Amino acid sequence: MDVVTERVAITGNQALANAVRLARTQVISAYPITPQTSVVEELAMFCAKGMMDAKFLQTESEHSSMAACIGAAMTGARTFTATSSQGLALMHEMLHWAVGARTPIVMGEVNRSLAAPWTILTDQSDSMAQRDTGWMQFYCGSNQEVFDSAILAYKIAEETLLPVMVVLDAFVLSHCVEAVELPSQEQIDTYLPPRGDGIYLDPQNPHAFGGMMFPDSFMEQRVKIQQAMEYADGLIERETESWHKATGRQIEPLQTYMLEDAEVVTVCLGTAYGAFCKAVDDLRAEGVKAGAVRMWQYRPFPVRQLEEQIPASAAVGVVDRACSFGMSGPVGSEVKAVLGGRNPVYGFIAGLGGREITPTSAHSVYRAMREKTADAQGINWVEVRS
Amino acid sequence: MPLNPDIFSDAALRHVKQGSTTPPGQLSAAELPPMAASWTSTEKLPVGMWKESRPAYERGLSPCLTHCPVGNDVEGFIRLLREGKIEEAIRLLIAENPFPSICGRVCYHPCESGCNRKDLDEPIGIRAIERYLGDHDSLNSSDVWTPAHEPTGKRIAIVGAGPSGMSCAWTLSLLGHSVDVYDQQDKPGGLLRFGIPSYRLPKDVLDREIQRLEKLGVNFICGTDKGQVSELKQLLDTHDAVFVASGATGSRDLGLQDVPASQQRSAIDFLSAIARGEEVDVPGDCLVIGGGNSAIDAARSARRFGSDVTIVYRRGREQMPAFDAEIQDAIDEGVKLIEWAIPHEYRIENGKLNALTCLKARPGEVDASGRAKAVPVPGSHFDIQAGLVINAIGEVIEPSEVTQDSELQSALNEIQAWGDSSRNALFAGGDFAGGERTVAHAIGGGKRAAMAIDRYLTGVSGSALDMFRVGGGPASLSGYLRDGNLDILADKIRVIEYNDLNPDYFPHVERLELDKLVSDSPLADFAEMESGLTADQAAVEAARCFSCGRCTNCGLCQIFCPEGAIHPDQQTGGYLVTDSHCKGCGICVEECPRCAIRMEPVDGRRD
Repeated sequence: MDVVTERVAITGNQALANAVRLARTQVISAYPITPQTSVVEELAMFCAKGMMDAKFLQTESEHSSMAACIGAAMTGARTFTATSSQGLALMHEMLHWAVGARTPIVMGEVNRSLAAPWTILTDQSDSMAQRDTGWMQFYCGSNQEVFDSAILAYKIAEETLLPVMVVLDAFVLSHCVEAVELPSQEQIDTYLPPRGDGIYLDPQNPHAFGGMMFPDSFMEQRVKIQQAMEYADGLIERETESWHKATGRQIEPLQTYMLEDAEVVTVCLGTAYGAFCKAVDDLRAEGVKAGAVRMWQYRPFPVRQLEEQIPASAAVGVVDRACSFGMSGPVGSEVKAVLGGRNPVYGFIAGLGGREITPTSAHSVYRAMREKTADAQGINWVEVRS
Repeated sequence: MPLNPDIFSDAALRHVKQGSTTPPGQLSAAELPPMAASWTSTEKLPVGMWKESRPAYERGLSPCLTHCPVGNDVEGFIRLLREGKIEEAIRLLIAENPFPSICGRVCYHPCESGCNRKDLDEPIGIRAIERYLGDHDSLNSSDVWTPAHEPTGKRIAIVGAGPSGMSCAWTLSLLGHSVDVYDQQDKPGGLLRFGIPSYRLPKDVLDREIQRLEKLGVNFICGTDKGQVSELKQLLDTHDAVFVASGATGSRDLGLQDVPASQQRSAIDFLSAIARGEEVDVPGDCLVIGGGNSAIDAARSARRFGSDVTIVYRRGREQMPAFDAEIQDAIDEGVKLIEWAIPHEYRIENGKLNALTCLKARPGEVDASGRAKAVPVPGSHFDIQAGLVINAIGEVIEPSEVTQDSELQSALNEIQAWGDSSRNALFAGGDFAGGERTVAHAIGGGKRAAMAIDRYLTGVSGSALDMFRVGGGPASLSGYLRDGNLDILADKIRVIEYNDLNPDYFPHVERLELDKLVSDSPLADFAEMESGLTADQAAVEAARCFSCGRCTNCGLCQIFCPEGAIHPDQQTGGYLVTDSHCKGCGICVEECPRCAIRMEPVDGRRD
């Protein structure tokens, strides 16, 4: 299964739609919102042209889209939806339900800032706001990774009975064209067979789902969600490896650059990673031992990977694209919780509302840590006018 | 696929898959299933006890049924066609209307005006579908028509072989009676043959439909002289009952001075002369006075002789009694229309008519018919060139045509809803019945009278005949033959309105527009103007029908029932609601695309 059958130039949204098609997804339920819309438009076209055998529902809201996905997933169907920003916020109630009902739904989440003020451009405030719902979150760095992540997402979701968000930056990935290798249908079928056995809605043997659970067992049910997340952490490692064997492409749950001897390290999610790698190259040319990390796997949180891969004494700058107002960037506080006992960890926030994170931005982060001007407690705002 | 053993362990799933009585709180965490799920099937939960109301499958009435003056089960034959059961569709159609090819061409299709689909996009092309079924080979290759009842030995005379008389004759024959139909013309058909031009109703189509009556045993006696065989008094003596449907054969007079007979004719006279194939002299300028369908037929016929034809009407186009589509056809064919013009006097020179002087009119008060009166504008005289004036200001019934007996004449002037009169054994219909003068009303009236005559002859009181009306409207012969045992008859049956339907299930589909046959010289002859539907087109058009109020076994109620309480009923072909599990939520009623279910209070249970 190492033969690439097709290499095409497509957008991140198209890469996502093609993954959903090749995964033989059976039910797609969505409501359009920029910058996600072209994902489901592409899928609607696939359905209309008979290129995939799926039921396509355009509902009256994202809340209903998610509800429809939950219902469909509970019958054993492979399901998909996609959304962004306000749409994801509107789904919030159903996101919890999807997890509690243990429905392995895959969602495309194109990162767009939450209003107000209005914008359609990218940051991670929308997906970070859903951090505690119990959804897995995989943040992509390229269009190829969008495709690969979506296939892996189904595999991982269906084995853990937890839903997965495949997260991609608005416009940078969603609307920019890159070369993407598409495996054949046969290859995908081999890797991703139909959903396995479970407990499904079945008119022949109807059961009630999601009913009242009393205090004598509600907590155990919650513990099972956490256990599934912990199980997923190991599963992700195995599946990314088996995907690597199958396709020659490696998704690194924690992608690292020049980390081995690094003394100053940045951690980010999404496409900003490229700017930090460029800065690392510049700094290394100057003899500075810099490194960069990109977190693909945000939920389950890569605790073990961070501990293993980030050098014990390196200064760590976490660059968030969202803010938990009144505290800090959400990723920053979590990395600090993991590494704070042994590493100096600084929280940076950059690139909100579509503001570019450039190599210059990246340099300013490394410089602040190297020159000890970074605030170890509070938020270090990157390139913000005073 | 390898599954997470912790989630899918037998221990975790056993309680759900196999059922259990162990309370979840007494299980180890490993034995708990991953999601909250009932230990047993929800079939164990008799949620039916919650309900305050329950769904009842109850047929509602499609408005096309109540709008059809004939009493056709329109929804029924369209549904059968949609299901590919064309023979059954034809049988259902012919059960109420012996003339589908005629109505499929000339009916003004009030069914389409009533069709709920008009509120979504456009009404179903019902008339075109009726024509398709009427023209179908399988109907017209059928040689034998058998009466539904054994011969009764009764003999009925029918005066007038027009649509009403022939409809009555067909129905009486089906009911086992012998029928003699008398007509002054040498061929049966009446208005259908001598009034409606053959570009709208070809004579071979008419002949084919009349043959069906002959095959059933109807005895036509044509070419009778006035006052001879058809004298009513005499017919009442020789027959068990008489039905008079001789039509409105008299023409209203324009009330202007005389002109040479060759230059002034009534529309009836003009049209029947053409129908008989007589030599008709149509000059270059032809005026038609009037705004009804006869005026349009006369104008379009005159146009086919190459004449410049102008219709003069005292009111405006909107007030014309003619059907607007036919007015438009006439205009499309080059007929001119002068509105708000009142004929005043003929201009005669050297004993020859050469123009009609008219007065301009303006809209005045609204009269009893709901239309603005034409008020002449003083001094507004103008002339219109005319070599022939065709008077089409209306036809009148003349009881003296059928009887000289004043008592019978007055009986004929007061005909009841079922065609019965104050005189025993005397019934009348068609134009005699009053009301709208359309082919469809005539056919419906003939059928009603046949049912009343059958009741009269079999000695049963006629007072209960109203129970055979479809939704309280047109009469149903099928219902009569089944002694009222037909679901569309109930007087409390709901007529389904658009708002009752669930239009989410009906995507927009454009109505098929029939092609007008256009040759190089379309008006050179009286060839039929409108084409029929192909089999594929008929299927497409039938598929547009909502089937308002009628369960079509679409299965949505079953799919949407949250309790799985709805199941197909093998015996009836419909659905059964499991009372113990229906909690009365009403989702099935909300989802039903065609309003074939309604909620009823539990207290109102029929058991």
